[in-house]
Amino acid sequence: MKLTVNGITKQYKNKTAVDQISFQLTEGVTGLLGANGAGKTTLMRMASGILTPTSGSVDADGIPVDTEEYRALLGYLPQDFGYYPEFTAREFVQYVAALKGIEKKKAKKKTEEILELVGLSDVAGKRIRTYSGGMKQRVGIAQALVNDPKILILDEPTAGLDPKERVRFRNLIAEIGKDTIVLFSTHIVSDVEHIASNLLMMREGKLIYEGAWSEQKGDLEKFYMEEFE
Amino acid sequence: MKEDWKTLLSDEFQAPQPKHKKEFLRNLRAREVSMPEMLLQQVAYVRPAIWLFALALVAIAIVGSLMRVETTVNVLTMLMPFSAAIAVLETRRSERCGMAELEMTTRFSLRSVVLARMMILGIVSFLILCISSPMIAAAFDAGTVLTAVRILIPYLITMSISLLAERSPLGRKTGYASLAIASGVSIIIYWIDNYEPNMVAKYLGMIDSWGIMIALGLMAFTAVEQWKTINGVEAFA
Repeated sequence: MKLTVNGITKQYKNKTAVDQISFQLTEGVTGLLGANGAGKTTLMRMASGILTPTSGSVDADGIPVDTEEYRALLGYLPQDFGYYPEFTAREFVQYVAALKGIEKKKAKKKTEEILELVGLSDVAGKRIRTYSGGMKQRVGIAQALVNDPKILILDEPTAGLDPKERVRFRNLIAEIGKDTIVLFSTHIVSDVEHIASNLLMMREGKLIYEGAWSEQKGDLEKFYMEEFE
Repeated sequence: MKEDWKTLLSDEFQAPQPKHKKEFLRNLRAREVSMPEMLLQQVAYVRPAIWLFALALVAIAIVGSLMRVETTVNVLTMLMPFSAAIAVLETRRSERCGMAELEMTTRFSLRSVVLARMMILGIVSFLILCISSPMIAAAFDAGTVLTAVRILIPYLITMSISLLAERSPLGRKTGYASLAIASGVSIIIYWIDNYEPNMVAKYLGMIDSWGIMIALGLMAFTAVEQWKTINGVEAFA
């Protein structure tokens, strides 16, 4: 599968949040690096069909981003997300599964599998509002994975995770990236260094780097600091 | 003998392990989900308080009719605006709870979810009307249709104004404009019922002559407002 982002721009009154960005992604993990306000979230929201680009297009093997068919392929974790206050983790994941068109029996089975994968099986029946920040983030990751997405878009997924959870999460994403297009944004260089086979770097709405990062190119963190200083 | 053959054959010719099973399952096109199925799915997520409020309205109609409490219809007309306000508030529940962005990226987008919820709550209100109107009409020797119209008009007025208000910048800021509108409509009804007997007579006369036309007009207006709200729900979120 190929995710094609073709010359997308998002213009707000006086500000261009994303400016003429194009790239193509295939199966594997792509890290999107950039400082706060670089346009990462706007780009990811356009790639998820939440925001309509001012110009340009997004498609997966020719399936446009604004179709039900595209959304059926998608798993998405927003930077900030909420939940209905009465929901337990199990109910939350099952609810998202239902909205993703998974039939009830299969959704129940899949929910248990995914909650096991993110290490929340033992607390799946507890209300999400009683969870810590890291646990809530894991519920978010679980809902994104419940439909076995072919395109997984994660906006700052490691925010709120402790170091142990971060390592566990990286391993999980690396595994998923073997047969899924994973695009995840972060401003933490080490998150990208460990698992991303491909790198996108944004500054002021523009793409300033695209491609794999090898040791020959030097220290990624140093390059990043130089670019964003 | 037959069983032995079966065992022997299955021992000799084992079915091969499935190859690329995961890929095959992932490539299967998602099945179609019909609107009734979507409605049933969303019914499970309607808050219990909404069902309890609907049941309370039906209970008031039944008990009031059986005990021939003359103010039954007045009480219902005062409470139905809150039923409308609750339905309108449901259109913004995803946004209020921070679920909107997630629901916009699922196969059935936020728009479908809101449409389904509004349809469910519309059906609930219709059922309340279908149960209470004939009972009240029978108890107080009134026409069923005109009783229904009397209950329906404040509901439709509240719903249409609330939909308009919730889309306005002020309504979006306050978040509970619908409840304020429902309270306003109820207070006006209470005031007219209790302090303006002449107005009550005029109003009932108008219902007798024009009630059905007014209700149909309000229904059309409400439908337009609902359409605008559903179409704008993703833009607002």
